[in-house]
Amino acid sequence: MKCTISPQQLGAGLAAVTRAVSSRNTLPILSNVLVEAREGALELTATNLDLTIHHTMAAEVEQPGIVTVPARILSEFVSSLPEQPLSWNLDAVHQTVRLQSGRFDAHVRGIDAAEFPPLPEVGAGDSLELDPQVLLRGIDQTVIAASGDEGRPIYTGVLIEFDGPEVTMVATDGHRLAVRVIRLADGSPEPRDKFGIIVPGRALVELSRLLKPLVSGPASVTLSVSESRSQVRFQLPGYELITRLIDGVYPGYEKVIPSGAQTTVTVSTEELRRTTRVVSLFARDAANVLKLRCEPGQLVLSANTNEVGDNVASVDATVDGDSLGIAFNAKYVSDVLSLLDSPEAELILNGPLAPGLIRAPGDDSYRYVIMPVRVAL
Amino acid sequence: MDSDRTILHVDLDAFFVSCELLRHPELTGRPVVVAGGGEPGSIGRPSPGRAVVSAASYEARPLGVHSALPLARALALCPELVVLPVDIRHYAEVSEQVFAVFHDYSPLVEPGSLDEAYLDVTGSKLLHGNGEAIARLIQTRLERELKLPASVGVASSKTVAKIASDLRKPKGLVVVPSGHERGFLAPLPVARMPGAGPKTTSRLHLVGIDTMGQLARADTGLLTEVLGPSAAALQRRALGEDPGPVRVPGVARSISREETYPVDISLRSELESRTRALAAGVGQRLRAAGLLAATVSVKLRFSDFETISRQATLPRPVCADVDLASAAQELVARAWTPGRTVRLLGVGADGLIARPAQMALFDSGEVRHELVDSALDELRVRFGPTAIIRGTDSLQESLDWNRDHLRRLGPAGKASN
Repeated sequence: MKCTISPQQLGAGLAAVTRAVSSRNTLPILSNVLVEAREGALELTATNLDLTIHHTMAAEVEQPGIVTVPARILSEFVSSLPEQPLSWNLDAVHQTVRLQSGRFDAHVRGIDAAEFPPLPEVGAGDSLELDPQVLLRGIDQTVIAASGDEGRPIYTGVLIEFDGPEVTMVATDGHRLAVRVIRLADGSPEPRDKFGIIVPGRALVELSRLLKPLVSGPASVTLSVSESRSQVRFQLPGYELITRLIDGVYPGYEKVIPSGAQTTVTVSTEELRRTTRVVSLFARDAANVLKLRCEPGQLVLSANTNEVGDNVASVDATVDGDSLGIAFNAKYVSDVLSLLDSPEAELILNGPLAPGLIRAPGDDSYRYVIMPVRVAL
Repeated sequence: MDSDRTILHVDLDAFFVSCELLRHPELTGRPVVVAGGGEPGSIGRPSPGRAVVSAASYEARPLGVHSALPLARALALCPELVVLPVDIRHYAEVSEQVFAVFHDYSPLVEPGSLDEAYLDVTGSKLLHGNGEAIARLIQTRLERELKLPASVGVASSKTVAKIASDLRKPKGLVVVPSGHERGFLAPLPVARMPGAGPKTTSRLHLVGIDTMGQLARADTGLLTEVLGPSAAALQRRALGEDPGPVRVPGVARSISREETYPVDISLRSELESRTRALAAGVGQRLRAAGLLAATVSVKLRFSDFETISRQATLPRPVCADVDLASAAQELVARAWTPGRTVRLLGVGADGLIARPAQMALFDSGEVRHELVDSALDELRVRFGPTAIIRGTDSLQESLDWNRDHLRRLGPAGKASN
């Protein structure tokens, strides 16, 4: 195995794939990145067995070959190098890679590639295409509502449902719920049947890093689900991300989305976002409670903690229906306000103990539901 | 343990009676008891019924009248006894003034009940003098400003301070200097130890231990055999070692309700509905305080005065009436055997934690129960405890309501005072 490559390019590729390397894994081989030189290309793969990231990059390959090397040391070494061609030479007998660039000459001990776990089979299930920026926005707008609590695995995932050209992404941590409806890319095949998968939120966060530099248009993302619906693969230019799916029954989220509207508040998204941020400075205790009072013509926000003090502010608003007081976790409110695309936000409320809905006025393509906090208002 | 620690246990003498004497000074010097039954604020003899003495004046005590004595027995012992009904609301108001005095001497005040408290005055000594001086200040102020006699124990720990305050009632002041705890405790009978009930003392008596000195010297292994795993802690306390801090209550540590019934309960169905009603009372207080209970307990006193307590830890902390009631009913069912008649029933909630106020999206059952409970609570607060009742409680509650209602209407011309 012998090739020449730009350290910057290799560094960027390593930075992307090593995000799949777990810092606390039990198998030494999983700390390594698989490096394979083929004709004209170098391929990098890293996995933690749940999530696998694969990258293909152009390289001058003199002699093909394959090896695994410790991901961390390789990544740190390569990213510290000046921009001069890096030559990569594998001594296959000793499984040692010699790296030479400018005045640097390093030997890194590797592990035989045969020990590296094979890439999960995704096979010939459904294969669908999505616009990278549409998918990215869908991930951003939903994954924030997923939970980090591994005790309830279902809540750590994002449900992605496919129905004809429509794709519904859903995430919840049990206290709030985000539902985003997007469409498959123009010209994408449609799924054979309606189906849903639960993708680990962590994997989607990694996917969103890979999607960010891509532009809308021809550079589409291909999503393939294994026949057994246990793995999903996202293919995008240069990268492949494969993740195990979360097994289980997703909660019936449609039931908790408010259908009625005792009180409807329409307000400037930006103004509410700013006011929420200022008022919630005073809500920084465990409960993080932001109180809202809907009155004719205005929305009054307040927060108080014993240690800090209190703060009240009002925002001009169109309030239809009953006056009402309700309290929410301030973070849940500010999260959605930073993700709404519209200049105005609509709050739909049905009493102080019923879930509240936040969306762009009249637009159901993104719905965000928050369960209130019970307080003496 | 901090050897400089100074803890006061202040215990008001015959507090309920003292409170009554504040508004009925003409009764001073006469044998007076406060007992259940009758209309609050009235003078006279509430129908003896099942009433028990809640507090007895020091004039009544030499005649054998003491708290927890059935009123009928007390009247037999002392026919000229003045019997006043319990008026907790009045005592609570007086108690607030008492605690205001305590708080002048330390922020670290742990209430034991309306009429007793521990004060950690370690940090107040520079300002107010040593423990003894502070104790005298408090006694003088209570006597002069509120006309309430109190006894105080001063020591390095809660246990010793409490034993000391109890030693020379009324108006006693006992100071146990730091380092002298063991010698102070040694001659005292084991029964003086807070928490050593009749069962503990009789077991200890069987192995020849009657005083705290003997308890302190006893072999810990033997004690553990006799008393179980709590023996070592008890022995350390008999040595005067009790590092327990004075706890300022942030939230209540337990909430309970109990009732003594005019007629003993013998029916399972009635026992169940009474339990449910008590549980609802506990639930209402939990919800009002924003708390959840991790543990539910019940107490049954049978006609022969045998008392059984049972408690269970719940799978998750709760505050809904249905959850509390079903746990309490299960405990009652275990403690009760058909044929036994129950005189007193109690339901309690312990392991209280602040209720996570964030509601859940998907546990709709929980939300539904809470909506029902909060609606019921609101109606009860506005229109009284019998304004609305669950269908399952209706028979018993309506009987109660009729009885209360008739009693309130009463025969004409018997207005109080």
